[in-house]
Amino acid sequence: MSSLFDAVVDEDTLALARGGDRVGLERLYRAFERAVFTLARRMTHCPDAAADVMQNTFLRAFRSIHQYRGEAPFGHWLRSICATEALMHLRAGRRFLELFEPAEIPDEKEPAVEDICQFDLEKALSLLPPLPRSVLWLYHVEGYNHAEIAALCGKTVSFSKSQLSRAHGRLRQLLADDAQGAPAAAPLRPPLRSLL
Amino acid sequence: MSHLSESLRELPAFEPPADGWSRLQQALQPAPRRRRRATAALALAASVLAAVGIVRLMPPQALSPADPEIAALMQRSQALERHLVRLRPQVVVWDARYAATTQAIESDIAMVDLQLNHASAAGARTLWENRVSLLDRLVATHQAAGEGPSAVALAPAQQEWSL
Repeated sequence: MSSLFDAVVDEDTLALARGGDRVGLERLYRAFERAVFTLARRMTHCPDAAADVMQNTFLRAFRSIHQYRGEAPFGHWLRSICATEALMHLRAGRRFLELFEPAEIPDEKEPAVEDICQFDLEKALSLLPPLPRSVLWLYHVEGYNHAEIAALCGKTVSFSKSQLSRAHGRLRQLLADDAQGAPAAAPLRPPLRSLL
Repeated sequence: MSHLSESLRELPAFEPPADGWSRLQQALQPAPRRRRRATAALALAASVLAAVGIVRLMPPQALSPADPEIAALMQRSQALERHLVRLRPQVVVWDARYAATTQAIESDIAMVDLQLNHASAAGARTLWENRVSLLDRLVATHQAAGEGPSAVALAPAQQEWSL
């Protein structure tokens, strides 16, 4: 399944947008508003913050669209702006002080999610600390590698790996707790495996 | 692709706020008149910056230094100029405060360059020291402007991850 940011933008639209034409700008906005908002929401876990991040993302993108040279898909360029904006929001909020623990985190394998329903995964995701959740999302959904995530965060590859490992460990723990804590409700939910 | 990647990708997208485009349009509107004046002033400042930049790029004529200290200062000056060339594209939108500071520094550099073209050997060293000092400040201003809220967002959100 491809990312929402993979939407193709035609040259006419880009040319219009580069010229500041409102029609071109709105086309770009409509093509990527869900992608941008979803990424922002996943990283900030707050609808209002995500709306602000989305607004700033499009403003920055439209004001610097002349810098987009078409070497990568437009959506990928926009995605990097969005991810940066969201990380800046998290940093400004200092909501992740607890994240800066020693990097000596054991290498956590990915949690097994075959029998976990979407509801549980969504819930577990919402309980992850912001930065590990952001790294998890950028890595698993948006396809960034550790070097790219490290560049976005201005940190090392080890930092990205440790945050992902931390996210895996916490997710595994949350999903295990959920599976143990709600055995009666589980059969009512469609297993995730059936959705894949 | 791992099960986790697949499962995460299967999670539904969020619906953006319905008024997102109208909010964005408002933010993209031309500034009101008072702001336009400020913008015009900034544009004027930018043109001055550009003009001064051209002057600054003209190397002073004291190019054959007998004094090794002056030669070192010239090398330092050239290194800072190269650094500035790399920094300039990173600042797309100038904050008024940084623009004013930059304009002042660039004007000072232009003045130093003018003096260097006619300086005696004795005065040249001081002028080159001033030039290097001003270029250092100019680099610092560009770096600050590039990291500020009005800088474009493509640069990494580096900086203070470690607190």
